Amino acid sequence: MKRKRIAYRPVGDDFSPMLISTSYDMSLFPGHTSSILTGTTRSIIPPARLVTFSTLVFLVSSATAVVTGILVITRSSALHSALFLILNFLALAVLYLSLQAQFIAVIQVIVYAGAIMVLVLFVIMLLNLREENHRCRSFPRRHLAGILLGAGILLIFVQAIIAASVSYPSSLARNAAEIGTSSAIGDLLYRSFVFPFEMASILLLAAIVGAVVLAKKRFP
Amino acid sequence: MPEEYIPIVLILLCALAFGMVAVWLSRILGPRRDYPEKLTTYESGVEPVRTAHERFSVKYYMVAVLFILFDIEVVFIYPWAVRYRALGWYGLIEMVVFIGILLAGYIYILKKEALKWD
Amino acid sequence: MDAVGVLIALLKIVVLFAVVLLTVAELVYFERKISAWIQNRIGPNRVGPAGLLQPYADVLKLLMKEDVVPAAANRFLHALAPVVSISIALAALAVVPIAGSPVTLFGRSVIPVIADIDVGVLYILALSSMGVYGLTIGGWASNNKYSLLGGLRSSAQMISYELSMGLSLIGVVMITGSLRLDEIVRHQAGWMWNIVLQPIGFVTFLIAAFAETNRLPFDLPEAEHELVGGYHTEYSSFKFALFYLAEYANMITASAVIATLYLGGWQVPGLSRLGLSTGAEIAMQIGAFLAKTAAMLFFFQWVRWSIPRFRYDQLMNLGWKVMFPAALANIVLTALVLLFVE
Repeated sequence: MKRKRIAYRPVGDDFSPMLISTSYDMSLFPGHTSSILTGTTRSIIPPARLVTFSTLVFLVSSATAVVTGILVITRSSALHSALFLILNFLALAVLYLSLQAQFIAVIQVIVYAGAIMVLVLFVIMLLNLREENHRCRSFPRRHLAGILLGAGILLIFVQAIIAASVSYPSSLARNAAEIGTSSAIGDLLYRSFVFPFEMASILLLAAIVGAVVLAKKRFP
Repeated sequence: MPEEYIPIVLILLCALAFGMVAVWLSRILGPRRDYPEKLTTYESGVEPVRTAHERFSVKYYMVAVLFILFDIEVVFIYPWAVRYRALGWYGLIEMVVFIGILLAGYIYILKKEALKWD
Repeated sequence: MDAVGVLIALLKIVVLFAVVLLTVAELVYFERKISAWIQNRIGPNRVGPAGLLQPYADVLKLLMKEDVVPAAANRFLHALAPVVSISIALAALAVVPIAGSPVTLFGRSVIPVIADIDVGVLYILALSSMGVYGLTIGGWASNNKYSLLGGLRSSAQMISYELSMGLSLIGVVMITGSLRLDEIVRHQAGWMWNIVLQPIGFVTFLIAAFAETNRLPFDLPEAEHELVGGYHTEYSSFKFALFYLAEYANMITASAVIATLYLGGWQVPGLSRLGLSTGAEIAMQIGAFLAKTAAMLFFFQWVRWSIPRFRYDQLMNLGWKVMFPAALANIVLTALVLLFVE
């Protein structure tokens, strides 16, 4: 069976620059930059249709992400919040997918929606968290702090998006489909970013020790 | 979105639709004869005492935490496995260091008997 | 992908669902027949010739039954749980290829798989990690102590074995150098099946698959003697049937995945030497894939009626203290062998 590689034209991915940092040097992907130039088939879809479809996917999944995100913080039942957070993570996975980051998308489902949310559900069930019944009537100081923090983060994001959309090389979007594959991630992680990768294991080790110390009441 | 993922989205939607239609069908087709006795919680004929949402053993929490940590390890190994032939000895050494550090954590868990079910 | 492409994909999905649901029905029948055969009984023989229509009668009966939701239960989550279970069980087969070359349909080449994606193996793992929610939510929403305990137990069991499952597959990925199921099958040409190259990984994956599908000897979440049915104690009518369907659909998925990853998938040793036409070759490949899956399904039944159930502490110990180190050792061993062979 001959597999067709679909090369996306930059117009098809009007929102991909958000993810891809401008500082990436394309020489990090040896073997992957050339594959589109060396005779693999070009897109068979007219660009116009691609734009509408990917725009639709983006709109639906980002709207889901925003709505479920709001529901997570407004539901009074902790279990309902957790379930909406799972939906939110799934919507984020679709967003990653629309940015061609297929490996990150599936990892988002496995680690966040699959593993971390199981822990959150367990904690909610184990602690028997009831509806939040003692709500503060007055406008508490922590709400103000939360709003300020949120506004600050929003500002940073807006600034980053504006900066990225001004100066991204068009070659990035063309190769985005190749960057997101598992083998491209493997090349990056195990050739260029070996040190952070090894550091991750020390971080995980610390977390293991912390979990055992916290959860085990008495040691033999 | 990469084109080969469109069928994945379609099958997830179809599967969800199948489940919802099935639940809806059974609600329509089945009879409805409720009375308070029938709607009580079933506990082998014993009268239910309080709610079921009580506190549970911390062991389940322990398993979930350790699962997350080792699951992230597994996720890190996958892209390595895909590129292993190209990485060669260099790849082997970096993965041995990675797994070695986490193995220390695993041995710590065993020594502290954090996973002992009694 | 244009409208015709979407239509073809939908057609494949409908065919897949139909095949899986019909197979579940026949599987229930054969399970009862096989158990009867092993226990020297006759088994179902009243509905239809030799009892063949028994499962359809059961489905109809369940569909017409009253749907009882306990007053103390959370109605929405109670209905959501079986939907989650069945949709995940049905969607997992999307990446399994059933033949080696595309067929021509409506004047275009159609690949013999619903979606040939770069992260195929991880897609299966991701869906099985989401499968936990059906049981957990079902157990919690019922507001029944047995259900909640069953749901919690099943979640803890599934996540423990998911770990070994993910680790076992890494050996296969290292040999192939790809996460695409199509490439993994192609790599197993002739008799070089992964069961030969990865014996330890095969055994750990097989055991993990039994635990993941909640089948005996690991069916503790529904240990009927201890937990009165576990997470589905408070389920009746078709919601119960959906849990039942999901369990069997998961078994089919597990068998198909084992056949694909370890038993050569659609590969038929020596097929190309026969000089058949492409159409006949595809038919042979589909037949081989189905036969391997059916053999694994029979193995599931056989084990069920041969091995007694594990105790819960034994199950968790096996998962964390035997399977996990064994799967890790398999990775290191595979890495060393690959380096020395090449």
